[in-house]
Amino acid sequence: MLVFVLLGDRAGFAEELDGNAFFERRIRPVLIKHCYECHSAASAEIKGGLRVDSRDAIRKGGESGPAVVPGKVGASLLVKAVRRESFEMPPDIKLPDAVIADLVRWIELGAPDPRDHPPSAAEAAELSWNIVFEERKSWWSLQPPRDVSPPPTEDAGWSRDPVDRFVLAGLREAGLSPAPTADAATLARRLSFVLTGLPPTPDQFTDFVGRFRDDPDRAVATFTDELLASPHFGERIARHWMDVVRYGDTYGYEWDNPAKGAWRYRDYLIRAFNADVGFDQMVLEQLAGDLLASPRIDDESCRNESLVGTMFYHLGEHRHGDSLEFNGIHQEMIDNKINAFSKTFLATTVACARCHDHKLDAVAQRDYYALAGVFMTPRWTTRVVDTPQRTQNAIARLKTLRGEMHALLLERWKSAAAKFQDEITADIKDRHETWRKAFAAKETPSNEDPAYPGIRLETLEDDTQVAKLWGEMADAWRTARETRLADKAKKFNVVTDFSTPDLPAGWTMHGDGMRHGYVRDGTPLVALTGDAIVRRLLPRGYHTHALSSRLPGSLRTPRLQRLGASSMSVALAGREWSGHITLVENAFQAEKVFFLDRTEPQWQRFDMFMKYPDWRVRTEFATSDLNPNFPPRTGKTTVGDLVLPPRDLGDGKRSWFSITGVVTHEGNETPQDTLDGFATLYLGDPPQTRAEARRRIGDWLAGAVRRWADDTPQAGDVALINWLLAHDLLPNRIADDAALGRLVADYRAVEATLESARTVISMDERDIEPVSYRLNIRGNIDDLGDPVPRDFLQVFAGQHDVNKSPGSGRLELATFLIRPDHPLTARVYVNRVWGWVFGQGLVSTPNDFGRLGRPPSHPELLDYIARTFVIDGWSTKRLIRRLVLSHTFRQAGRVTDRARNVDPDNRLLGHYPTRRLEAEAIRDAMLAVSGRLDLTLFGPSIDPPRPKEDEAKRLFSGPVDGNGRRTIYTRITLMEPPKLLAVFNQPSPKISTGRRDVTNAPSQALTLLNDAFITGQAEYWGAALVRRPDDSIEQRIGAMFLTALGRPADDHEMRLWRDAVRDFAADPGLSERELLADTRAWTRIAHVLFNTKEFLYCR
Amino acid sequence: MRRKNSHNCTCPGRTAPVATRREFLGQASTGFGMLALASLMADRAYAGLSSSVRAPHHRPIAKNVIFLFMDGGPSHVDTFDPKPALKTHEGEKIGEGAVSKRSQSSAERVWLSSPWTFRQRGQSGLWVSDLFPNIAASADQLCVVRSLVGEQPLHGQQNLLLHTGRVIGAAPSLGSWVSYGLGTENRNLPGYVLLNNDWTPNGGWENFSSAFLPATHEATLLRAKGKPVDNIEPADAPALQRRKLDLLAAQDRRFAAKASDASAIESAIRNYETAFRMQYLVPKLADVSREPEHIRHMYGVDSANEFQKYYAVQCLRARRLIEAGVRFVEITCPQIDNNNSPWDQHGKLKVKHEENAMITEQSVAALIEDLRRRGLLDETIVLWAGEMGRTPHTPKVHADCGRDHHVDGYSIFLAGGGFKGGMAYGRTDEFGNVVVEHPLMIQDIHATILHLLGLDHEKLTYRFGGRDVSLTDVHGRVVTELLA
Repeated sequence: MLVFVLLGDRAGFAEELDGNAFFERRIRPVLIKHCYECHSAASAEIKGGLRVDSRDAIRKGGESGPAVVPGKVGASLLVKAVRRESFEMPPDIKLPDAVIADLVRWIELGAPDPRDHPPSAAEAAELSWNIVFEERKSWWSLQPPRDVSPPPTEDAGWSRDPVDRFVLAGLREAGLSPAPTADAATLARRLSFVLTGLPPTPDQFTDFVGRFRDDPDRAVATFTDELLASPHFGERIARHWMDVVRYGDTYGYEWDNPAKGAWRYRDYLIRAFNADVGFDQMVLEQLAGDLLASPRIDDESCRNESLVGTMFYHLGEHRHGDSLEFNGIHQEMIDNKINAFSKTFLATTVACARCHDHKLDAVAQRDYYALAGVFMTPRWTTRVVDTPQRTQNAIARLKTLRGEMHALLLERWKSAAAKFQDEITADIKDRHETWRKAFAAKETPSNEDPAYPGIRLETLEDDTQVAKLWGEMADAWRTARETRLADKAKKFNVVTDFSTPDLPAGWTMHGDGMRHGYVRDGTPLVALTGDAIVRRLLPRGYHTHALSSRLPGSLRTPRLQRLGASSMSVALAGREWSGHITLVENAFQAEKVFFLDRTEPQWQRFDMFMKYPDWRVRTEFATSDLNPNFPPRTGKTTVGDLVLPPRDLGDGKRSWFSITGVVTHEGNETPQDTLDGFATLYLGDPPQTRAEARRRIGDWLAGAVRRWADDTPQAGDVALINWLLAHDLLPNRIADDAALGRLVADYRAVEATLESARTVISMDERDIEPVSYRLNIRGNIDDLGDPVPRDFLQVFAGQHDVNKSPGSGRLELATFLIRPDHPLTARVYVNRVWGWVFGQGLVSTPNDFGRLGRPPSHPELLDYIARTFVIDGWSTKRLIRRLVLSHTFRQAGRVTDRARNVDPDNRLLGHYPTRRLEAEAIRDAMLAVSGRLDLTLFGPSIDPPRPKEDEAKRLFSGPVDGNGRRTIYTRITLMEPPKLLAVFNQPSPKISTGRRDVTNAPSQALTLLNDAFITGQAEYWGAALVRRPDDSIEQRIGAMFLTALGRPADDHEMRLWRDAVRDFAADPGLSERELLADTRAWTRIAHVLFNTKEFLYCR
Repeated sequence: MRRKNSHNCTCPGRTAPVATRREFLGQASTGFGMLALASLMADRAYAGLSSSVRAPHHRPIAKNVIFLFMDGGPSHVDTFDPKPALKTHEGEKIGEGAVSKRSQSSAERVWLSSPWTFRQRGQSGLWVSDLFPNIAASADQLCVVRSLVGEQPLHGQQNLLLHTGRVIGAAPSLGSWVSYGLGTENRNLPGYVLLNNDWTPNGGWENFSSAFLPATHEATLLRAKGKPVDNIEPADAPALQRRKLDLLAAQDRRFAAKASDASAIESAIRNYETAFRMQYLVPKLADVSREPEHIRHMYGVDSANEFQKYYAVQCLRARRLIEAGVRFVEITCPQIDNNNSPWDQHGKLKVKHEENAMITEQSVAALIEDLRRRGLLDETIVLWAGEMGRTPHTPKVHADCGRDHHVDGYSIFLAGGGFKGGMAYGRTDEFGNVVVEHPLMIQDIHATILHLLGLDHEKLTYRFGGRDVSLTDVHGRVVTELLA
């Protein structure tokens, strides 16, 4: 039946619809949008037992009765609820009257409803989401910045820059006027703190004030350019950015393990801001620095800067262990990464969608897991950030020298071996002493030991038993060898025996130690210290120390389960904190970290986690500097009897490992030695006499040397030669060979020029199988939904190639973010910069541009500067220059009563606010004023002073004054953040901070009055002051004011502080000259000046 | 009706007690209460997030909390949850059925009996083991909960859950919420004091953090040894410091006139006066040397064991701080060796649990008894809790064996402040391996504590990140069964 309805009242025109169409157009969207969350199959908990997602359900109703009774408006609880007569539904808003009228009319029409079947939970959720999504994606911050023209100039003198024109228009509209221009002293101090975080020096002040008198505009511009060119500009801006990326030097939680390379990332930021690297480039580097086709290389320092940027991901708190031990660990970590990424670059709280679609923004739960796949695909591992240029010349030279030594050794040792038979067969009494020692009796000689035949023979009293013993040994050897060979063939599948340098499929290596670490059988390992020429000959395979133990190396397996067996055995050696680490789902602080302490490769078994096919498990072999979890927690840093001291953070180790074979197998047995070396010994008939037997042994050992020298070594020969070397049976002393001695000296000299590699935690996608992350239903890690394909937020669908990437999609993601028309990237960043300059962003919630954030105070201005910033090449320096040259910036802090009423939060920028300095600026200013400041840039972080150390957690105490270095170089330990800085609101490094708290608490006063750093700086300054050749107390007070407050003292202040000098003196009766030399008085004056609000605030 | 002030404390700075919102407002209207409290609120210097002075939502029963934090996880089956079945089945494999992600478990592990005898104590007959002979004597005061369920058997997460209601932390601690919710009764003292025994627990200082609440609600740390509080020792003699402050105030007032927001500067100036008084008040409160001999002895201040001695000092200080008007006092355990945390006995259960008990339990019992005798127990909630319990099983039974992490049914106790004494609530299975009756989450305990303090856990919120955030989030119910 057709029902005709007239809808003129709302639509403004007559529309004829049948009942179902009316339902579809007017009713269904309302139900989905406002009711489904609590009253459908998609609801976590059906409220009141009522569902409205099918015809039957809505008519049946819930606990209170039918929601809809066709034709009976009065009996339909739905109408009562939306009219808020009984229940008040929807709870958050009252529906518009027109919508209520539609519902009434629908019921009057008999509530036509085509919904025969209730939807599934997924269908209902999708329906519900689609409706809200369509609405939410029209949110202002998701639209590209508009091309706006600045309002016309009203006051040409004041508003030359378009920025001022926008601000002035806003003020005028509210009936307000800008504050007058600040005086020169205030501006000098303001510019200096905003741009460098340091107070102006008295010289800068005098200079500026002089120039300002002549030409204020030029004076401001010149001083600004000076400050922008200062290396301390980078330190200032980097610290702001470090709040956003949650910078810390450690990982907190239980052990506060070091965040490897964090300080290198801090230095990278300082360099990047100083060099004015475009923000677009910085986005690329921080998100995908490892994937750039042409990374940014600093030729002078031989550093791949782009690769350092990726440390961004690896900040924040890291839990130890992995999800196999305690499920939930990597899920919490990835949540931190998604949260930091989305707040930093998008000012959007994507992490809210871990458990459900975002309650207010256009972010679906699927978006969260699509991004989780992007970030979980790469390995989170350590990379060397040096370019090959840093080491290539030295490495080439070492190879040449080693080659020359090798050639000489071949000759020397071949001729030495020719004498073996004679040496060994001499009469027992005057027999060669070293041979005698080599065959000295052992209690249980191993049949794998090259000395075994010799030792056994030396036990014989005469020649009668020689043939018998020899026969027995030969038989035993043959049997053992055959069994072992058969075993080997049957039980072990050779993945590689390194007969070629190729790595098996899916294995990747990294670092010069690996790149130059492959050797053929019998390559000499040059001794770097001591009186020996070589340490030993290396068997074929990879040895990260083949040229130098300074070289880093790592070798990484594919997913272990892909190797297709329950066990893998690896022939491994290593020392000095090289080891292996097994990572389950990128385990962010893996605890499966073990270290090696042996020189000769031995087979070691690894479990392949076949019981856990769904977990991504991989093993990495690494020198200490390429182990992302080195050093691990203090209790785990042991091997055998060795313990890494807690204070040793593991830098600059001569760490190395060797790997000479990989097999897979079932069962727990590792491959056995197949006794190859003895093959040439037991050829032919047994000897009859001891002399003959000795000759045979001599010839056997000499044969190994001969074959090696002729470049035709057989299996086992290298082990025999190393045995000879270990027993001093081959010439290997520098003192005995001038030519080789010179080569060794050259080699050592070149090796000594190599520096330890610079490494950071970064990403690696080589040989990676991309993953899709499975949705956690309602955020429950044990309730897994379907895998969600890697992608970026739905709201940007179709605008990027993240979902088409053959890898993780990070590069495509970053590339999309820096598109000129991207609605968020530039806006979010310029808003941050605005906040750094003015104390408050145009959007006062810089980490949230969504519905939970505040709208921009000047939307058009925000768009205008975002667009011009992009057109101007994403230059931070030029953006800041523009802002600080504006008249808006130059305003005084004067507030009229009217402004206080109309605009209490100064959103309209009618004055420049007085702000307390940040913790860093307070500490730096004290150091600068006292004269203690050491302006050295860069380097490892310095421990803050602590009342008590905790070795187990590596919470060490540093110098009270931090060696005078700027605060940005203080180690930020998550577990116990630096106290002085925490008191003044340095933010917690666990989560991204867009805007710092500024609290005002008694603990700050206690700190300023009594803290050892502060009283120490007052003393330091006091001691310096009495050395000044001042003529009067006034002169000195004037100088102190200038240094500390950036202005002269006025007459009133002169009197006030002059009196205080006398009060503070050791003796009130001192003469003026004596007072000037009284350290005590000046220390106290200095201390009070440090406590003045004018010192602690910037206006 | 105004509650009687049973403290009779003449401590300087102490404000009159507050009972309900109405009384509070009445008092505030005289100007004194409001001023006193407002002076302690460390207001954020920028607008939009300023905190407001609060008062109870309903008539409170308790006014203070002392939280005895048993860091590391004391074993429930060795303290308050007797399990004779562990004796009869000792050494038997626990089997797949007993394996749980809420404990470090595997089927091959075996049941382990308790090395201590359980006895029924007091009038109530509450079971307490011989590990705690002194606490057992106060059994009739204890409200034991045996059915707490945590989220993950890991220290860091559970510590943060216990303190902040969330395993990820980054939220205010219980003590910060109480301080924020009620304000302090003494304008010269912080609302939340942490009596620390030289030990940073897992999860770090974040356990005691005010997070997004104003910084004044952060725990103020009082060390057991040495300087009790950072920077509390004046760097100058009082007269000199006074002179410095006067000079400073004169200079600062001139600056305030030039600043765009004079009120922030003025309140910073006022902070110096508070700080000045705190320098003398805090050490005085921390000094227990003039407490009567028998009290010092009862707490164990005279113990030859250094750890016990300092723990006793901290317990005695807790009472003094409560008397002086501090709302929330927390005491950490000392770390006696290089173990992960004090009560974390993966091995040497018997020796080390006894050592921890020796250090703490006499002082805990003394504190409860001392509060009771002074009539303070009625208005002071004592919370004794670790972040987890310990597995009733072990890999292998031997003399030095221990118990591992366990969060499915662990025990805590509450005393005083409106909790019903001499009772045990909730039940674990015959092995103490899983909760079978009345499971509770720590948020339920939080809600109940707030309730007794006159605060509604759903209404005690703070607007942060665009949301009204509460301690209990979407969890928590007031467990009326525990109330007297």
